[in-house]
Amino acid sequence: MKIEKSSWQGAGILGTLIIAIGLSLPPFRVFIEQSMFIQMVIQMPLLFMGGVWLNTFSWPKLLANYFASWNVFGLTGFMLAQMVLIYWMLPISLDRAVVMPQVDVTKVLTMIVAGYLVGDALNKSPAALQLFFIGYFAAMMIWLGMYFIYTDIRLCNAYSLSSQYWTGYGLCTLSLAVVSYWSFHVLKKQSQ
Amino acid sequence: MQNSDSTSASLLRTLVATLAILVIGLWVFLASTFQGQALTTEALRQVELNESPKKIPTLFVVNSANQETEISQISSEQRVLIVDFVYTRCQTVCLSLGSVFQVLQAKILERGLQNKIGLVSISFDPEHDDAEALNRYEKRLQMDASIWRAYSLKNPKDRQSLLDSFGIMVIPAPLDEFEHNAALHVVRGEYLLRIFSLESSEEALLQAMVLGQ
Repeated sequence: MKIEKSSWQGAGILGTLIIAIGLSLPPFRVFIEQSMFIQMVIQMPLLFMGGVWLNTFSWPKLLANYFASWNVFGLTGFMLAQMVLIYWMLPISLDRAVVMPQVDVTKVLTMIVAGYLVGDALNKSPAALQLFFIGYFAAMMIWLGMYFIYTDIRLCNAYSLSSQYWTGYGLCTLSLAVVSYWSFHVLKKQSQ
Repeated sequence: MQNSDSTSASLLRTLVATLAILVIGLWVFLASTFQGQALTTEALRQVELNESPKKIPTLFVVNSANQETEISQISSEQRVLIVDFVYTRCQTVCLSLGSVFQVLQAKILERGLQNKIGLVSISFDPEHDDAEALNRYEKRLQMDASIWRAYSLKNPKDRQSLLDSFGIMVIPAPLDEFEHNAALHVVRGEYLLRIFSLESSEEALLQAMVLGQ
């Protein structure tokens, strides 16, 4: 899977990152403080996608090339990204990101880095390895999403039960979107 | 040959790096979830108290008769308290909290524990909840004054310090209501000893009995 850049994309990437980071800053911060959906289903994926698209710029490539011999097939990158994504799925982490600014800064930085590493890894890993990580992550998102939909326990003290319920649907949708998009690309490549 | 050597060296490095990241990841996970025991803030509140009790700050409250006391003074006479947080207009979670407390009140009466265990509902909405509102609330929930009393903060400015010291997070909800984490807080004197979820009210009662001895 190849991440490519067309001429208008530079502005798009910058815009995505500005919106995603802006959601952690006042006055827009109230959105992620009030809605689990906005933090988990909108902000985090935007940070991640912003990170993925950083691969289209040349300067992050230099860093990636420097560490290339430590990151064959993007395995190290996949693993690090997986750790980051799992960490920000924990309800306690979401609460902390709302209450403690230093945790929120960590979230913003690590999600962008995770996106960047996955974008880089997708460029150099075989489909089987991609299937392992993407499949595992998609399954986890569906599981968590279903749990959010069906439980009547409030998992985050910062968010209402209804916000958690809608986040559940959001996570399931995201998971399906990730799997469909990835499958489409792999099948397209296979058929060529 | 040289090329294949450097390829396998890179592969080895990658595996080492991946393994290192896995170990660091696990360490970060354990460190930030109280050794894996707390995936939610509520769970963390509970397990943290297993290590050491937490001191409650000096805060003054009033009861439905407009008498002023300090929170830590409510549990004098060697009584252990089970405390919850409410606002008297509440129609949602407080109703289930109310029924949990009603069951606890009935059990305390039945087992003759009223000299050992008391129930306390503290309002975190002092702007609305004056002595009169507390009075209505006590009547509505059929509180037996020898066991269960409602209190409100004397000084509305103490609201955040009350919530922070117990670890209660109040968020606004539609229709001018609040949503908040409801739990049973076992308090003795000026210390918060244990926190139980609403589902473990029987356990909270047993623990309160043990801690009261």
